[in-house]
Amino acid sequence: MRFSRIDIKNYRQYKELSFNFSNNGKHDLHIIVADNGIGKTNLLNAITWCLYNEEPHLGSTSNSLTKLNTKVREEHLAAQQPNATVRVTLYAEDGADKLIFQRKMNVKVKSNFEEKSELIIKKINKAMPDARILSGEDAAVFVDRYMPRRLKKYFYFDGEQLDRYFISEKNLDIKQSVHTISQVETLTRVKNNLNNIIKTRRMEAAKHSPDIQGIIGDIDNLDSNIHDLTKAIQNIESEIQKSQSVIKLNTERLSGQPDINKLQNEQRRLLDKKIRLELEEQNAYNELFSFLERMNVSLYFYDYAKKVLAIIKEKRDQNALPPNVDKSMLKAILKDNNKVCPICGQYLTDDAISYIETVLSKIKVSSETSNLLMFICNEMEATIESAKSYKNNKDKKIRVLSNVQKDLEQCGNDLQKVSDDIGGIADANQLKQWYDEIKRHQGILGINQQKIAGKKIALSNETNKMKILEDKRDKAIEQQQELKKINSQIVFLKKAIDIIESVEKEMMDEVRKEMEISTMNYFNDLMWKKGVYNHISLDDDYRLELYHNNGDSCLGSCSAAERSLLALAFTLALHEVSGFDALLFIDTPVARVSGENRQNFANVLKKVSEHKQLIMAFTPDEYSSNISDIFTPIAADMPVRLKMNQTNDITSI
Amino acid sequence: MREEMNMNDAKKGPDRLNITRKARNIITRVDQEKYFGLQINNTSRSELILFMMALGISAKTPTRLENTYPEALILENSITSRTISFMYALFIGILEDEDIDKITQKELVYDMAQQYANTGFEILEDEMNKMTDKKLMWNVIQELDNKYDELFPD
Repeated sequence: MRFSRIDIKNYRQYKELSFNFSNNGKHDLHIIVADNGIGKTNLLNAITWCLYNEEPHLGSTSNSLTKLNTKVREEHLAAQQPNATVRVTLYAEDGADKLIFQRKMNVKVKSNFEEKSELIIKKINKAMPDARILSGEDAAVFVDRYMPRRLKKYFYFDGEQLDRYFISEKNLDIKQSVHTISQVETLTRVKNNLNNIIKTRRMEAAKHSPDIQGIIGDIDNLDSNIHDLTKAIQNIESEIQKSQSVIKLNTERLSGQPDINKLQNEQRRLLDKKIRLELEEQNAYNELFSFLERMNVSLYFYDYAKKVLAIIKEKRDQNALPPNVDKSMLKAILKDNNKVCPICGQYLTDDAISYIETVLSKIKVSSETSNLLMFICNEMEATIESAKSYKNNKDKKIRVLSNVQKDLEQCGNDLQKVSDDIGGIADANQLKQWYDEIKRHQGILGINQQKIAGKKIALSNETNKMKILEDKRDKAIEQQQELKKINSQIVFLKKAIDIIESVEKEMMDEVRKEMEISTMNYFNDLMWKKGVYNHISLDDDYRLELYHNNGDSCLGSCSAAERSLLALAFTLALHEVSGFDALLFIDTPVARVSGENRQNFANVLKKVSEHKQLIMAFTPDEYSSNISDIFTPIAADMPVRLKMNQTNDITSI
Repeated sequence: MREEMNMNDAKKGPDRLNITRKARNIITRVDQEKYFGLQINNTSRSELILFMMALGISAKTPTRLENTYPEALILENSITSRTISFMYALFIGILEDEDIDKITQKELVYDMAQQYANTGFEILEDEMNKMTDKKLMWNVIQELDNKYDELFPD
């Protein structure tokens, strides 16, 4: 099937626009060129909206806008028209049949409320005068037959969304898609129908025997459990595969890169250590300051302390310290004109006075002086000792400071080195992201592996029980004479299912092998690096792996450009191997491919367009001479160039 | 002992240690810059003035107080016994062979302590203007090493 025309009305940037895709019989190739933001991707969205009521390629700007063109809305508001219609019509040809797919949607202009859209399909055949019209569920089923929804990303290829193409949660999608596209699905449907027939036969058998009915009831319950467990296991397996893929991909990306997490942890540790050491250094300085203040006093007062202690010793030797006579009292007695003894109250004789004068001359120190000297004596003795200890204590304290400063200097150097290492990493944030992704998925993986182990044990138990019950059931059926016929039918059907399953597997294996070869061939043709990659492999779950000539798997270390070409190669292989006759619409196909490498790309697609309709949307930069020199001469129409009006709300040709 | 001394001295004279306005500014600066650990929350005023006296002794010159700050730096009740001991030791050291009983003249003792402390403040200001406390530390160590060698030549 090929598209011959697309009409778009009031949809996003498109007010009223038609694209015609003629067929020159040689190369069914059509080119659209437009700057970013003009509407290339929304053309793709228009097609998927028409067919599937989905817009999987919306950018952030479009996401916030409704489908109705803003200019049209303004015009309707001004003209007080309450409703506007958004409509996309696809005209297609399938042999002698002409098909018209049209989706319409009414929009309440004032509130921008979008009513439910409706798809109508008209099928016109020259042999039949009346067109066949399908709508609703019938239309959806019809679309799914020609362009299955599950496979839409293989018809409409967004060149900018490729980085995650091979993340494994998509594997099962790919497997199911291949299942559909290679018509193996038909066999699966037959197998399911046969299983249903077997079920019916058994239920019939059960009617004849209540025992069998009971067993079948148990089997049904078990079957439901097994189904739930199987589904749960599949889901967990998918999660496990995804985690393993992410871990593998990021590990390959990080191979040879510095461990940014380790470096940052080390940096934090060293910063903490530096702060702690700086505090220790300040404490060591404070200790030294206090010490030097005390020592300054001890050393500069040393001589004074010695003099004081010498005086005290001298006075002690003279028995003048402590004084046993109160010098001041004796002086007071002599001064007193009455000459009376203050103790006994008697008048003092001349002899007595003379005696007092003699004693007074002998007393050298007053009691107050004596008290003062005794008061300061201990401090002076301590000062002498302190001064003597200066050198030892000083050395100890300086050593403490010196050690801390050495540690601080070393810490500073280590910190500088780590900071330089981190600074030297080209994209530290990206590396950190990859590390964090690995760690996160390792956690998830651990949990899922535990979960799945439990589920598998449970499944094994239920399966064993099932086998026992099935044997019991079959024996019960065998034993009943009247059930012999039903039994032989069941046996026959089982054999048929076995055959179908082995054919199914063979077909899938064959398709898989053809896909591997075809993908590799396309990839080699597209790639600028020749002779580097050896082969690709698809495992049973359609996980793609690319192998270098040296035998190593290397998908994770491919550049974005190589991955996008691989994804394109895979898609082309899928179309080729399946024989599915559908167009391929590629939006910004060479977003990540530069310069001369685009020539390979153009040559490969030139060949593809000989047997398949290709519609490609480029930016002007992408549609460089390496591509346009090859495409423009062979294209079925002149390249369509889109432009935006001055108010940036309408795209036209 | 100290109470007895105080009761006697209360009749006899000074009960505080004074400083100049200039010294008051130096102290404010020391507190702000936390210079050499001499700020108020690390070194008491009593220890501070003792240290200043020692600096004054190293210069061997007392400096008379001029332009005295109206508030005393420290009252007698707050002066530690250690500081008081050194105040008297300083006075005795200066006395030469004079009458030892002169140490009972409190105003002379306090006056001498204030003058030597005043010299110490001048020295401190000079150092603060020239260098950081960490650099000063190494100069002080050098000086004390020399003093130690002078006192204990063996």
